[in-house]
Amino acid sequence: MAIRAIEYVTIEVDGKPVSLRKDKPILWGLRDKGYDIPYFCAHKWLDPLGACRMCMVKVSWNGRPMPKLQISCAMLPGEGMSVETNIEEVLTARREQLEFHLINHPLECPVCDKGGECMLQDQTYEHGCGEGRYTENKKVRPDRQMNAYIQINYKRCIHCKRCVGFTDEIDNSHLLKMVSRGAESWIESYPTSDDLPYFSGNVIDICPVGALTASNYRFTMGRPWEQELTASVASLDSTGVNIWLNGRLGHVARIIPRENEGVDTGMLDDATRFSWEAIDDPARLRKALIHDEGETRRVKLAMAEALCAEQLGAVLSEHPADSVGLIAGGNRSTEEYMSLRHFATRVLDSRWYSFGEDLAGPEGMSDVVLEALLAGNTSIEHILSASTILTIGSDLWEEAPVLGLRANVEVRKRHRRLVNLRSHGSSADDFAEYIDYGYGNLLRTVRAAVNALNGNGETTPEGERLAESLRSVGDDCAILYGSEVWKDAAARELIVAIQDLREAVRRANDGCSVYTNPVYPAANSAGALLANWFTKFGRPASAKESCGGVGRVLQAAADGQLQALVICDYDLLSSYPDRALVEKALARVKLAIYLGSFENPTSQRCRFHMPLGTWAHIDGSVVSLEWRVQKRRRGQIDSVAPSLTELVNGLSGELGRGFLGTTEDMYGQLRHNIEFWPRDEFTDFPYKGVLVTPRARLSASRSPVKDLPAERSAGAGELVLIPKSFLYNDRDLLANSPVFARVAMPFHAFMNTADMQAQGISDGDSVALGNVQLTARGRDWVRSGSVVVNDFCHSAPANGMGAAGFTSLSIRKASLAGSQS
Amino acid sequence: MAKGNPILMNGIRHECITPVSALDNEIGIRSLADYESKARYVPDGKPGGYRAIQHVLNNMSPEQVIDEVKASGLRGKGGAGFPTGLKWSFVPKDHLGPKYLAINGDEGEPGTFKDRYIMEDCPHRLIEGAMIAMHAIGAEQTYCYIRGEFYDSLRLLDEAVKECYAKGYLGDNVFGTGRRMHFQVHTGAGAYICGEETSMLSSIEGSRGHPKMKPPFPAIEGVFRKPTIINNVESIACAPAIIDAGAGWFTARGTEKSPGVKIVSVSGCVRNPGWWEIEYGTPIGVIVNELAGGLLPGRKLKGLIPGGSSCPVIKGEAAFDVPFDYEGCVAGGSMLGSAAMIVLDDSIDMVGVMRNFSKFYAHESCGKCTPCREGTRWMLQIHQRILDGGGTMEDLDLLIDIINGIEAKSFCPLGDAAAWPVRSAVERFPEDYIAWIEKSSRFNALKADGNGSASPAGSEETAGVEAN
Repeated sequence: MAIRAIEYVTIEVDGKPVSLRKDKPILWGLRDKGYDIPYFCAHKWLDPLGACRMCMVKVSWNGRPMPKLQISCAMLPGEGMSVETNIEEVLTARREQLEFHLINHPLECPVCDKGGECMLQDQTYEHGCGEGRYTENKKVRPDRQMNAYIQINYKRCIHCKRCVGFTDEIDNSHLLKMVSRGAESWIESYPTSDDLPYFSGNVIDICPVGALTASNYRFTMGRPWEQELTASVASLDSTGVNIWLNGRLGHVARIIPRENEGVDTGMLDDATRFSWEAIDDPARLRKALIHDEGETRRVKLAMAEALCAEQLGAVLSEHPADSVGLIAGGNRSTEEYMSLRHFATRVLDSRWYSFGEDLAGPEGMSDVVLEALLAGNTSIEHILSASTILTIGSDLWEEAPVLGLRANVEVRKRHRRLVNLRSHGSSADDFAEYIDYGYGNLLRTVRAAVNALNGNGETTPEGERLAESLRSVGDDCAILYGSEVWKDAAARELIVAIQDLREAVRRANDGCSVYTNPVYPAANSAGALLANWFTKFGRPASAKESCGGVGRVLQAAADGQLQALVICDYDLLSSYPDRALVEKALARVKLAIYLGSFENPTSQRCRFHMPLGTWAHIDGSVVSLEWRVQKRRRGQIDSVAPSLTELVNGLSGELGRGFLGTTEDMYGQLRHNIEFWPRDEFTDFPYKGVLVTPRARLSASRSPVKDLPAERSAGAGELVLIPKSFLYNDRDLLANSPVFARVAMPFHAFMNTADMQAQGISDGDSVALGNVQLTARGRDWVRSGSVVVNDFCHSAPANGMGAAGFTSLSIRKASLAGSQS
Repeated sequence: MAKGNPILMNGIRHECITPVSALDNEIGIRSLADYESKARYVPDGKPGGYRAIQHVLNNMSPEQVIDEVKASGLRGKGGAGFPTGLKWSFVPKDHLGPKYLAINGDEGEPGTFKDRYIMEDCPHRLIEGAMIAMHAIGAEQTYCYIRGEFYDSLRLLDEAVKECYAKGYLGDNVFGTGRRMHFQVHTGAGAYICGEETSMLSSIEGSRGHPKMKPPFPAIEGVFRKPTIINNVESIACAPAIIDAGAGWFTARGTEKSPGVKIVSVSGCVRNPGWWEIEYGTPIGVIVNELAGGLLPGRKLKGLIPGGSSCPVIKGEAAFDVPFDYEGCVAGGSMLGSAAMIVLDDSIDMVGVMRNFSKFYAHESCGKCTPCREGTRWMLQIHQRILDGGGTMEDLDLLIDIINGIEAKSFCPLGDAAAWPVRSAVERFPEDYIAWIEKSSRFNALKADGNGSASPAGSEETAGVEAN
């Protein structure tokens, strides 16, 4: 289903003709046109409920008035319709209903956190009668914690049931329900320890009163009107969700969604929403750390810069070129990557740099793979309006939560198809068709499906099933692929094979549109690609090309080619797939420098740890998975720590290599050199971002490969290790937000219950995977013969459990006493 | 037909007097075996049970059945009086996939007790009617939703359904015709709201019994989002008689706009409460005085509710002249509703009655929409306060204001049901309220301050009540 043109119809409102969308209830159309029709229970995400009765209007059809007032939230416009919004009958009805809403509502606006942004407050001011006639006793019920994040204040609840609608219709968690009947009814929640909240925070936004408030915000972070709002972009995944970053007195007060109908329609995941606590956490580094022979010194940044530059200078004077490696994680801004790139090429004169997590496996990127990554990309709007959405090795709820949620809603409400090709079950499978493949056999399955669709070559049962589900995709098909592709040892072939699949699906469906979008591992992986391959994306330049990948840099360091290693905001030891290689590289280089906001296992292994502002402290652009260039604006908060650009400028200055350029300069270079980059100025960048179509000069020629790689499976008595990218993991922002300590983070070994029985392990036992100990949890969504672990955990790193790539290991019960939990 | 002459089925209370007894004058029988032993309800007997459905299955197309029911002028017996044949014709004919018949046996209206006797005394008449309706609308499945408290109805109807399955009257091959017809008895959990048709569908689906948005109407998108026809037990039980005896038999009875017969259940201050099947148009006086045995000695009629607790009260002896049909009751200032007549004599205090009604509706409001949820509770609180000696004259205006906010503004008809009787009581029996208020200490205190008519909400002494 491609995006359809919007139809309009003209109706008469208060005697004037007004043109409204045919497919939306008149409430929304009229409010957009400035008619102040009050409402509480209606919400644009939800089906009309008709509970609050505030939005009643007088409707006539061809001059014949309907006998009762009609609720405009459920009334679609049509020919011959006329609406009265301002007659005495309607105004009286509003006053009456508002009086009913207020009789049990406490008059505590002066101390309520919602005060200032409360719909009930606003509408009482506009439409209320000004005095109460209710002299009876009000209903009272003590407050209650809804889940780890949210507190319910029953007294303030006006029973609009928006929150219930959200958990039923949108996130499908069914966490909230009405209990009891009539005026005695209340909203009850039943969180269990296993329910990780993913989207529960949205009920705070959609609550029209202060009944649902964030526990860590209420009573502590000030009133809404005291906060300074900054339009920014979320930092935990590559969807590019828009947010408001609220600052107060130099501190972050909270993060709330900023509606961008093309990206998020105002939805926000809990991890992003509540991660604001980390930004001001005392654990964030304000000074530099120097780890020297088992001793840690805390020194001022300027002094650390000088010391660091001195040692770096010593390395450079000995080995002037290609002796320093430079690695950065995928969450910095594009401008920061550009300044790092200048630092690497101009100051360090090194080709051993790579930004962003490895997309193409340890062998690194090539033109063929880069072309495949960029081909067929489309916007989120198009992805979600596709008749069939196929995900390959990607659990959208974990990797791009808002996109996953929206896809789920599309499937349920607009009857689209969602097909998940995955190695284990997950919440993303609700309402989806799914095809299991054995972990490690993704390339085999995709190629088999291509062969089956093309009708020549070898195939497999899973491949047949995938091909079968793609033979009639409808009008168009969107393919999303994610973490299991990036982690596959054959990622390079896989990314190319997915393009073959795209071609095969198109051919099998009479040339319908087929899109492919990567779900990148980090918020600005696409921006990192731009900086890595600036000479291919931009105008030809003579600067040194990136060596191609983090794996290549680490290999060079481990081989002794590099003298020093600079790591920016990338916890390699916890999250890089090949831990042994990281260990080796860190042991081999003479000088390791870490630039980052928080301490983590990797930073502790580096001699210098320079403080860095978090994403909330710096201005810069980020590029999302749909290639929407958006500007992350610096919040109205104190930083103390510099941005990466400032830091490398400082180091460059100390090294006597001069000034590399400000953030604006970097943006200017992007804008000047990259043809498809938005033409807007950095200072007034559009608030909703700009969608671009990436183009690169690539010498890519390839021929389809039909051979299937050999099938991989676990050895006898062993389980296949599946390191899964969870939304909740030990990323710096999550590990350092106190609020997340209340959530049961998924740091367990999830096993199939049948496997557990066969091995004599019971739920809660401590088990050893390689050298790492974890608690075993029996879950039905894990396929028999595999074990799922969180791929980013400081205390139990998945990359330490076996060799990189495909691992099958035997699992044994740890013999430690007291291991039962 | 002469009006004022009730068809007094057998003259015996608590016996089956569904329309079929008008034909054969036999009492209701609970099991198929009984029917057979009395040469009744066997396929070739005359008059016979399950004869109508066999005739329908063999000789009539669905359109013919609908036309016959339309011609009979059968109106829904649940309260709204919507023509049943017309309702059946609303099901989309070209719909692919299942359609459903849902029978409303959630007889929750205070004062009403008619459907339970159909389900208990002649369940087969109901099952046969359901089969005729299923044939007419092209459904293969009936859900009969019975109020949770009706244990006997559930047991007896369930037994009858089992008998039918055992005999092959229901199942995948009904009477050897190859038609599939299934009948599922579903119980509620004791919620008045589930008698509202869309709430009943929610409840059948297993959800909380909240009414659903209309449109889409159930005939287009009902239970499990499939076309569903919802009929009252009594309406469905009329269908076999109409097919058997023809539409003309039905239209020969009753009035022009309300043809046929209706079961009326009479309760309250009468000597002989019970239920009878009468022709529409019979004057209420005949029902009360001749069937129900009249008022107790020495009492006078104070008011009468013709259609169950949700209908306005008709004041005084004038009620006796009101003809008992849809149009007559409306003209008399009330509604026919579910034909549950509640007789109130001069020993009754109207404030107490309304307190009870308000308590019922406050307890049974589902809590979905604001006016009903908050308004019913507020009305109950005011009535309670008046009875506790805290009433003021302003309460009467306040009650009317609250009712204005509920009436025609609530999501489903339950709000109206809660509002109408109170409005009629306040408007037609203000003397009862005033008598209580004049005894109230609060009223007298305000009066002593020379403030007898001031709004209590604004006065200082009541400001503390609002604390919470």
